Order: sequence, then C-alpha cells, then structure tokens
Amino acid sequence: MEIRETSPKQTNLHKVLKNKNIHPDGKLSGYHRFSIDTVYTPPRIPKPFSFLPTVNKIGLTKLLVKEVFHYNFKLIKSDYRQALMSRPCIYGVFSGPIGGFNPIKEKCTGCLRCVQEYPDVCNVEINPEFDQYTDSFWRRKDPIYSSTSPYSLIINEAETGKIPVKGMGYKGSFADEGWDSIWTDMSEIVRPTRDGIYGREFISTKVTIGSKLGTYRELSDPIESSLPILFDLTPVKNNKILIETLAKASEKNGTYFLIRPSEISAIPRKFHKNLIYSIEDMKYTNHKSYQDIRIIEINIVKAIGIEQSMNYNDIWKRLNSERIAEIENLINKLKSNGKKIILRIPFTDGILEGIEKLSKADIDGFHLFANYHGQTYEHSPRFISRVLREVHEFMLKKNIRDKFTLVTSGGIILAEHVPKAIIFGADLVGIDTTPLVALQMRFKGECVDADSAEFYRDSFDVEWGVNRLTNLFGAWHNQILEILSAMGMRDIRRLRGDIGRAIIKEEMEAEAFEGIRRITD
Amino acid sequence: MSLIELKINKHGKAINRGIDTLALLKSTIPPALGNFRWTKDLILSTYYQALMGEIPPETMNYKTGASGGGFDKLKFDFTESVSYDSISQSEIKLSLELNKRRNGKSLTIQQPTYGGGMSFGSVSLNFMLARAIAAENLQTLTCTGEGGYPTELFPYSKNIITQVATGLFGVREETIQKSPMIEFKYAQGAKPGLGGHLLADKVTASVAKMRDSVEFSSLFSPSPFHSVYSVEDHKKHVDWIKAVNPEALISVKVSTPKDVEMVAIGSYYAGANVIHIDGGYGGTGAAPEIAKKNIAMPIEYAIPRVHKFLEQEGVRDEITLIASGGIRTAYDVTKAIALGADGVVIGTAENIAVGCTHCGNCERGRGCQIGIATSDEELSQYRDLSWSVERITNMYKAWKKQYKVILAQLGLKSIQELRGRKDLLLYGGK
Repeated sequence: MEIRETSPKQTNLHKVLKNKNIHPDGKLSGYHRFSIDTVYTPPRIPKPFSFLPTVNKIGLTKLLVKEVFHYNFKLIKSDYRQALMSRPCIYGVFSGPIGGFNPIKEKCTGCLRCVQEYPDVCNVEINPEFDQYTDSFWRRKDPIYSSTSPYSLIINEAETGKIPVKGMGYKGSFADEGWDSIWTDMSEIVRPTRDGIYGREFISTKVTIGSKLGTYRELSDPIESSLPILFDLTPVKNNKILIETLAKASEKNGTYFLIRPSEISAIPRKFHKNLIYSIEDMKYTNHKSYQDIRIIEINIVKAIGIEQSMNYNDIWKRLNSERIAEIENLINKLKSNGKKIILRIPFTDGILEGIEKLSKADIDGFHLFANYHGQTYEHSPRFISRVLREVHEFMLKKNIRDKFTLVTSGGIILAEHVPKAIIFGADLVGIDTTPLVALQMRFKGECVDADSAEFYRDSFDVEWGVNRLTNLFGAWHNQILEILSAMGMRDIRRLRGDIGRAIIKEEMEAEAFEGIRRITD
Repeated sequence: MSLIELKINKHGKAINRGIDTLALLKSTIPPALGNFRWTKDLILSTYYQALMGEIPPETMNYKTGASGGGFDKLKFDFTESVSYDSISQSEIKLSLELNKRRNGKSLTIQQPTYGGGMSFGSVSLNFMLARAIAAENLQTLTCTGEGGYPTELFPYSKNIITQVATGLFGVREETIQKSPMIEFKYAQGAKPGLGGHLLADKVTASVAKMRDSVEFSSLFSPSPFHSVYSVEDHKKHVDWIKAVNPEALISVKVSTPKDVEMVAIGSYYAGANVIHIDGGYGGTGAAPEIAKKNIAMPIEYAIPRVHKFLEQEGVRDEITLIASGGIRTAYDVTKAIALGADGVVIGTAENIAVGCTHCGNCERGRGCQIGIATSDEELSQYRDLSWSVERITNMYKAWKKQYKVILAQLGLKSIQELRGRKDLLLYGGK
C-alpha cells in the first residue's frame, strides 16, 4: 500500500524566516498553524502478514529442472543464468537464499502474479490471523471476500500516520449497516480555496466546546479542540501507562481525553487542561488539582445509581424532580468554579424528552453514547446515526441546538465515521476501542461496552504509544481533509448537522429504484 | 537476446499460459483471488470470455458480484418475456449514436460501450495501444486519459477520445484536432473532488516528458479546473475546443454528487453532446481508500436520477447519458441502460481481460506486476500487444452475445429500446 505524506515539509520560506531569526512556526507571535507531525512507529508486537504465499516444493523442483533443460548450454552466459534465476515476484517474496522453497511471507502483497505464472506450483491465501485479536465489529466482513478489516487498517495508520492509498477501485460491499450506508457529498467546482493541493492546507478541523450563544466576552476565550475527536473513557480501567499515553497524545495534538475519578491521580497536572473529568457526584470535586480542569462530564447513569446490570432505559423513570435537583446542585457548584459542564447520557428510549428536561440546567453540552458497536440502548436498538440525527433535529426545533455542544461516541472506529457523525449532528466524537487497537491491545471476546469489555493487559512504552496515537490522529486528520476538500468546505464546524451533505442509502434507493418490483432474494 | 528480452520471454509467456489455465479452471483457484465487487467467478469468467470470445458456462457466475447491493441485487424480469427464438438475434441492434443533437457530426459506435480514460503513465503504452486497436476492431472508442497522447496511437485516432483533464497534462492542439470526441474530465468516481494522483515511482522519463513534468516527482491534477468556477466558464472551455476542432463532439465527465442532475443539465446547456457520470465505485490508478468508499453516490443511484431529470427538462433525447464506475459485466451494462443510461464506459473489465487480478497494487513501486498499470520498461512488455488486442476484442464479442440473449428474451430489437425500462428490472436488495 502506497501512502501519501501527511507531515508538512520545510519550505524555502521557512528557511528564509529562520535565517532572519523569525521562527517559522510563529512562536514569537504565539500563533501556530495546527498540523500533526507523524513519525513511523513500528508495531511492538509483529503484525500478522496480510497474505500467506505457499509453494508446492515438488512442483517447484520439477519446474527448475525443466527450466535448466530448456536453457541448457546457454547457461554458460550470465544473462541466461540470470533469466533462469529471475523469479515471478516483483516484491521479493522469492528473493531469499533458497527462493521459492521458503517464500518471504511479509513481502507478499497478494498480487497473485506467482499464481498466474505458475498456477500448479504457487498459491496465496489471505491470512486470517488479524481477526484473532478483535471482536466481531472489527473483523473482516467476510472471510472470502475481504482482505482487510477495520483492525488492520487502524494498525497500519498507527504505524505510518499516513493515508492509505491504493490502486484499482473499491473492493468492498455495496453498503452495510450504520456508517457504511451513508456516502458524503462532493462538489464538481467548489473547493476550499484554489491554493495548494485543492486548498486542503487551509481547512480547519478546530471545534469549540460550549455554547455558541454567549456574550462576546464569553465567546472570546473559547475552549477549543484542534480535532473533532476526543478519547472517550477507555474500557481498560485504571491502567497508568494507558492513561499517561492518552494524556500526552491529547496534549500533543490539542484535543481531550476523558478519565474516571479513580484514574486522575495518574495524570500529571500539566495535562489537566486537556482532561475531561467524568464524575458522578460531589465527592470527586475535592481533588487537590481539580482546579486546573476546565471541563467536567457528569455521568448521569452513575449519578442516579443505575448499575451495569440495570436497563439504561430506566434512566428517565429515575430522573425525578428530586434527582434533577441534586444534579442541578452539582452543576451549580461546578459552574461557580468556572467549569464547562457536559452531561453524559446513553441513547435510550425517551432521550428527546430527557434532553429537553435536562437542557434547562446550566450546562454546556451533552455526551450521548451508544455501545461500542454503535447500537443504542433502546428497547429496539438502532444504529447511533439515526438517533443522533433525531436528537440534533429535535434540538434545532426546540431552538436549543447552539446552546449545547453535542459529543457522541460508540461505534466510531474509522476516519470516515467522524465526518458522517458530524453531518448527523455531532460537534465532536469520542473514540473508545480505537486507541486500544492502535496500541495493539488485544480484545478478550466481544467488547460491547465499557462495563463488560475486557482486553489483555499488555505493557508498552508511553512514548511509543504517544507516537502511535499521534499517527492515528495524523492519518484521520488528513482523511477528514479529503472529505471536506471534496465538498469544498473550509471548516469542519460548517459541516455540523448539514444533513444535505449526506447521501443516505435508503433514501437514494427509494428514489432511484422507484418502479422496480422488489423481490426476496 | 538481452536479459530483459529473456525475462519478458520467460515471464510474459508463462503468465499468459497461467491465465488461460485459470480461466479454464484447470488448476487450483487461489483463495486470495477476488473481493466483494470482483469475485473469483467474475474475474475468472472475464478471463474465459477474453480467451474464448464466448458466453461462459453457467457453472461460473459471470453475471453478478457479491457486493450485496446495486447491480448485484438487480436482475431482469424475464417472466413476461417472449420466446428466446422469436426474435432473430441478427435483427438486434447494439449501436449507439453519441451525437443526439440536431446539428453536428454523427458519431456512431457499434456497441453500447466504449473505453474509459487511462493515462499514459498510469498504464503501459502496450496496454493503451491494445485498447486502441481493439476499439478500432470493434468500431467503438477508447480514451487517452490525462497523460497525453503518445504518437504510437496516431494511426487509431478515429477511435480515440482525447481527454482534457484538470492538470492539462499532455493536452495539445494537434491531438485535439485528431479526435472525434473530446472529454472534459471534471472528476473521477474513485476520487471525486480530489483530483488525479500519479505517484512518483511511475513518473518515468517518458511519462514526465509527455506531461512536461519532472521525473519521479508525484503529479497531482487539481480538482477542479482552475479556470472553471461556473457553467459559463465551462462553456468557454467548450468554445476553445470547438475553435480548435469544430467537428469534435464534447463529452463532460463528472462524478456523482447529490445534485448530479443539475450538473448534467448545466453541461447540456453549455453544449455537451455527452454527459458522462462516473460513480463512486469506479476504477483508478491510485486513490485514497476513504474516497473510493465514502464520497459521492454509486452509479446505480445516479443514472435514474439524471435520466429522469433530463426527461423532465425535455432534453433527454438531445444528450447522450453515459455511465461508468463499477460496471463490470455485460449484465451490468444492460442494467445500467435499463436504469436510464444510453451507454456505458468500461475500464477495469478491460484490465481484467488481459490478466488483472484486481489486487490494487497499481500505484505501488514499479506498478502492475504483470505489465498493465505500469510505466516500467520491462514489465510493460509482459503483455504482448496482439495477445492483449485479442483478449479485449474477445471479451466484448462475448458481451455482445449476452446483450443479444438478454434483449431477445425481453422482446426488444435494439439496445436503445432498453433505455429507462426500469419496469423490466427486479430488485432483491434489503
């Protein structure tokens, strides 16, 4: 897979400015244009080969003997000897000392030239090993037709930090459930600007956390995230190395990470400005370094005492006026300390009424979460995108949308899911299992939500982890730019809730195939 | 013989033999062959058609892939059809007039498809030549793509469309004058709105010379034309071409945004003879994976949308609607026409006919390992010219036989009668 550079290059202008003792990154002015500097970071556990080339050794021996007889006495000439030794692979799979008798599997790209050239001798299989590390949501969609999976894609992005670029057309299924049933729009003529490579360099991915309706003074010092992506609470709890890695990666890339009260002691104070503290009641607001934290998330599920075994749909029954008063007290206490407050609530039945009720409190946003597979907690679960759109449109109708930031999480595992979630109404997304995949942490069975998911507890070097997550952000950032560039958009904030930019399978199909008789396949 | 000649002789012939062996299912089929869109059966049945020029045996699924939607879930409703024998297949017309306007020169192709743009540099000169000669044999067209017009193609100029794309690489007045049709490429389905990419490894000296660029330096075509901000600007482009070659037809190739029908009608009023819509699942020499899968709509949705809108605007019979982007088989072609297209542009299937495995390594290093999508001097000679011409010609011969079988079963006497006949389709998707 060929990959495009994502890191900015030093230009001549940079050099001139440096010579004049003016820092090209603008450190004198304090301004720094957001970019992500990626660095190749190899996997800590050797990653599985994509393909498994095999050679029938008896067949190969016969073939070589036949070729020797074919060239015969001409082999005294060097060119003929070289032709004899020339192997049917341009990637060097058979370039080891004993050639085809021991194919070098890691070099195989699955091009199948060896099979085309010697179909009775060579064979190539897709290596299923990647699938062993993951759960069903991350696996290949089909063992026959898929050679890549979300898991292998993220592993590669974390390694290289670059956009996957390949030849030939799309190889996947027509459309699937969830994010894969949505395409994003493009424009034939409009570009962000006509400068650079289609104006990509000028696209902003910065988002603001908090109300858009404040006074000028309130809005003049916004809390911003350089990317519309933050690290959600991780299912691997209280892992010091992991927490430190997430903290450093957030700080390095200008975004945020969520942690639980039990995890805050692992975070050096300098990272608190990038931290979103997810609490459930007043007792967690007394930590000595809590003052530096700017954003607090109140976990409503925990705050009203719903345990893992209980149904999240009970949330609205339990949220009586007494409970709401308790939460409002907590909010008022936190607000008096100048914090931004976000309420974390699950996608459940009755979420619209719930949001309307909670929107009267002095808060700055909602974090709406589905499970790790993108399914809501409704009695009849749906994919997150549908409910997210309903929430966004409901808030627009109630004229409260700009008062709140909407964060959403659950089932957002690939770069393309981010702009799609934003089109459906989110301001930012939270990623949960994705950073763990980037860090090569392996799933223990199905990982559906934070309370039940289990991972093998591997240890790794924090700096290695920070580089892997930075690479992930770098690759995603550039892919988001591709999507925005195609639409001619210069600012990701403009994309929020712009549902007209979505091409939705069921809507398109109803229109395009109108008049075509449906049959059961 | 030189070493390169020896290698070409050794590997080129062995690859050809192997492809035939695979086509006839005389060896084990590699498990890694195929994907949702180009399944093992589709690849091998295309090899078979390219080898034999005949409809493949029913033991192979040569009609649909496994993508689970679009063309793969559409089928023809033959239940009301007339007897297969009641229409003589020799009566059935497959030709397509590309100029539907009242003025201008007629340009008729003898099958409802022509070849899509593949640039010099993204594919080998040998393959370009093979496509051009096959187009001449089949009395249809093929397209230069955006890499210029190598002089070796001049003898086949009546069958070659010159593409004017956003980077204007290799665009010269002489080659515009030679062409019966000029194609403006605004966007490509596989990377809509992202321009073209030719990665550094493939920009060899001859490629760089043809494109007036620098050797082994990546080439990005902008998106869109830097001189076009509106339909009026596009009209000025058309005027420029008309000044250079007044007889050339004008084709406008665009991607499939949500408002694709607006783009189509704008192109019509700017003077286009052909509106060519390229769907999201089309081929490419190199594109970001995120773009192939996620940007712009599949062609199956865009065709009926444009067809219907052009009808509503009362101009449907004055413009030719050409579709492309993931159209793989004779069945896909006829389904696209039933959805509303006049004809179809084919790209990847021609590559498959000469041995492509749809592995997607075109952009990598030396490019295609068997010499199709490459600019490598040695590899590009692995595909023997006459062999490749025969393969492409055979594939289309087999397709023509299938068109006739389908049309006969539907009781239609020409491919044009099939246009927009959605009532003849059934849909089995979710």
